[in-house]
Amino acid sequence: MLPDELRVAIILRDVEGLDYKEIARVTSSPIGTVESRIILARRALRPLLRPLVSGASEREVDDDMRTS
Amino acid sequence: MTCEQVESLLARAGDGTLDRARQEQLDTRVVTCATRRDTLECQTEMWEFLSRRPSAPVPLGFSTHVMASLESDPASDESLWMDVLGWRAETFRFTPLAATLLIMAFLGLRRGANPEPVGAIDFSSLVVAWVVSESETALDG
Repeated sequence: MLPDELRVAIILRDVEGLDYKEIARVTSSPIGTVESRIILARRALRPLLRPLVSGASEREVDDDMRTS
Repeated sequence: MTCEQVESLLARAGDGTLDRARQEQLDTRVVTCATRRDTLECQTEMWEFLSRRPSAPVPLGFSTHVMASLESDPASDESLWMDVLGWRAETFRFTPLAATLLIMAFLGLRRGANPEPVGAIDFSSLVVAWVVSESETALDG
């Protein structure tokens, strides 16, 4: 499980779409810290989401082949 | 540009918000550094996956359907009359115990009101005893 500060940072950036300045304001953290947290969170999530990511890209390829 | 300086740019590079000048600096560094290249690939991959994550809006009429099924649910009627009577579901859990106590109390009262009758009198033995005693007095007399 991701630590809270990493989870908050990545949800605000990658899911909610806030920019770095907004996240820094919301979490009362320096922008550099926000950037580091997002890097760490994405790095931690990668092995967990890998099957989903590869599955999603395979489905996209299938969809493209069907439409063409 | 050092690896540490590049590291701080990777998050923005991953989601495409890095300005052009810094992006060029990063690109030249990434070409020569496999670790940073891998990190950048990770950042881009996760950003693309998470930001494209489809939102799942509630289907049209879903809340109406839920409310309709709640209103037609017989359990909701049951809770209504129980509320009216001021009963709680827990009350019914004690029903077996209460029934047992009632039966025991009833049996106890019955036993107190009608004491157990003395065994039936054996008249034949009384008659025999009386005849014997009469005959003995007659013989004595």
